[in-house]
Amino acid sequence: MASVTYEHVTKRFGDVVAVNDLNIEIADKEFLVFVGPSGCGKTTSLRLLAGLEEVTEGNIYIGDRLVNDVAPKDRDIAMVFQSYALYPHMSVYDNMAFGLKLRKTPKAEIERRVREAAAMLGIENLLDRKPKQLSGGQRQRVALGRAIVREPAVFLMDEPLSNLDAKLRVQTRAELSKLHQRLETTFIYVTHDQMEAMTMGTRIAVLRDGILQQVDTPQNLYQRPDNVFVAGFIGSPAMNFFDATLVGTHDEMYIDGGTFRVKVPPERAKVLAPHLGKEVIFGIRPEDIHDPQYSPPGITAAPVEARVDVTELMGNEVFLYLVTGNKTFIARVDPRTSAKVGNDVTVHFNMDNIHVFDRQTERAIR
Amino acid sequence: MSLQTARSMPVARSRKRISRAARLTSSGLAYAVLIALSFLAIAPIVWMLMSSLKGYSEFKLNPWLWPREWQWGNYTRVWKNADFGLYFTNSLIMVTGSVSLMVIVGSMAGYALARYQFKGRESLLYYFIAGQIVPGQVVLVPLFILIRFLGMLNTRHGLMLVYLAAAMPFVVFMMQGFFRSIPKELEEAARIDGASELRIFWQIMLPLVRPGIGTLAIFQGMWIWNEFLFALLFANKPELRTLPIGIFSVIGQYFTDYPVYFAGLSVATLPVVVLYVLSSKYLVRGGLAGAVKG
Ligand SMILES: Nc1ncnc2c1ncn2[C@@H]1O[C@H](COP(=O)(O)OP(=O)(O)OP(=O)(O)O)[C@@H](O)[C@H]1O
Ligand SMILES: [Mg+2]
Repeated sequence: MASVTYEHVTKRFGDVVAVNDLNIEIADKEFLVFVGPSGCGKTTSLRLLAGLEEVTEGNIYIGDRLVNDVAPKDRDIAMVFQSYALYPHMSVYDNMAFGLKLRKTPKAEIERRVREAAAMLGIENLLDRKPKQLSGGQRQRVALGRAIVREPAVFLMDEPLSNLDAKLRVQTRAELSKLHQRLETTFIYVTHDQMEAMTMGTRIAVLRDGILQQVDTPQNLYQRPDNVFVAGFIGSPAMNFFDATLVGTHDEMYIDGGTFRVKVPPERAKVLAPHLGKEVIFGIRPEDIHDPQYSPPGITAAPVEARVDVTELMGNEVFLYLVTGNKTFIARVDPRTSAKVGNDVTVHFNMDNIHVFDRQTERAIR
Repeated sequence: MSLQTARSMPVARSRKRISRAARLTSSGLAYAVLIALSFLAIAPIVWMLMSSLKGYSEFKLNPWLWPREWQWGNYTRVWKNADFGLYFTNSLIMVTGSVSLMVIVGSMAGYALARYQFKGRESLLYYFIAGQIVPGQVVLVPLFILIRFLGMLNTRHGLMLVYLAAAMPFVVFMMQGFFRSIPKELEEAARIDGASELRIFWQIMLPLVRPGIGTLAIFQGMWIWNEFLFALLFANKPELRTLPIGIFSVIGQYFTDYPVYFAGLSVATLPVVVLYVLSSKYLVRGGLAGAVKG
């Protein structure tokens, strides 16, 4: 059990800066998820912590111990690789026991721990098999088991679910969360899937081009993204963005999107006041755009005209692809909506949940 | 779409007929070539076996026909007169010794070249590749002088060293290819699990390239079993003679008892044929393993 600290950590591969001045404090027993698009430095961050790569600059601590020069095996960590990296020539039992044997754990103790982990993961009946005799999901469990038996202070996982089919992925997601609660250890998890991050992480670190964008709880990340990138990355379908200008007066402020104009609620107007007259990026999530007939009561609704381009019925909701001017945006509305393709409709923007970003810095205006 | 296919049906059918005819002739051709090739491969062996069972005069009179009188005695004679038991043992020792050395040295060198970053790694690899280009006969004289200088002339370990050196370029090159095809994560997982470098090599990497090593060992073993030139030059003492040299010594200056000679050849060939048949499936599989670079 241990906390983890990245302190001004930079990693360069030749000219490529894979990780750029990373600072994070990860508390004991946290489930931290590194998320971001391909090539943003997630895996590298994890491998630095595992000791499989050396930091170029900065310090990494596990607990209070500086581990920059500590060998991987002495860092008290266990890692689950994306490819699982099971030893092909060893049985499942030996795969799980390998690390313990090397640490000279008594035989009975090894046996106990392997059986316990196998029971926890539901793979007791597979212990005698070789990895190639297992399905993808079973291999994934064995890889987890190999990490569990070691009882490490920190679990590292690099996209462990990416080789599973969609259904198994959802199921395993829940099991991993349960496992985290049960083991009460620090988990550090890498994924490019924001949905995985949102459902499992106690906190999420969003990376882009090796630079940390924001670290926060899933809820905060969703409701208060620090910049356009995070706002667009978290949430599916993604947030709609419009190039807009703040117009009007301090008391009557509007967001002018060219083809529409919506009134800013007074509390937000106060915050945005310094930017009056400036160019901004206006963001609104699809679920904050409603069919007026089914608008939830009590929201600050602003009407916007648009044409329906495509509709997608998802069952419990409908995605409307709407066009205003030459800009397409998505609304996620009540399935009872009467909007048809080609119709000109009015939708309600929920102005309580709008996001406004500086056009230059792309940072949220708060 | 469906209309179009319906209309083009007759054309398709006639094309199919043509292609079937073409396929028949082409497969017939393939069979003819294969049969011819197998004949070329098998005929000399059959002829050798046949000749080994004839008397000397019969061999001279009708070299191409089936033996009229089966002279099984040729085999006992070759075994007794030519000291075949000794040659056999010598060959066996040479093969096992040299191949073991090749596997030990080659796998370690190959692993280092495949997995460690060190100065001169690339050049070293090219050095080994270049070594494959130079034929052994070219370096025969310097090699001879070197081995004599080392005082290893006419010793078993001297000859083994020569075999090792001759095979090393190919063996190292193949080995590093095998190791390169193993995912790096396996090694990293082992490192996190607490394995030392030696243990990773021994318990993780080596078992995974075993099919490749098996193939290499069989090929190199066959080569040494049949090797003549080095054996003649570096271990030319009666008690060190290997099979090829031993059989050759049956050939006299003025008179050669060919049937006996062929009996010796047959005995020497037998183990190779048996080994080949037993391991042919394995050879194909192992030959492909590690062929793809990782
Ligand atoms: N060993 C290496 N040598 C050179 N460049 C590397 C190396 N490893 C990673 N990089 C580079 O560092 C950057 C970050 O790579 P990293 O593997 O951490 O990305 P990632 O976020 O895990 O991406 P993905 O989601 O595709 O796995 C990339 O630009 C990559 O090309
Ligand atoms: Mg990665």
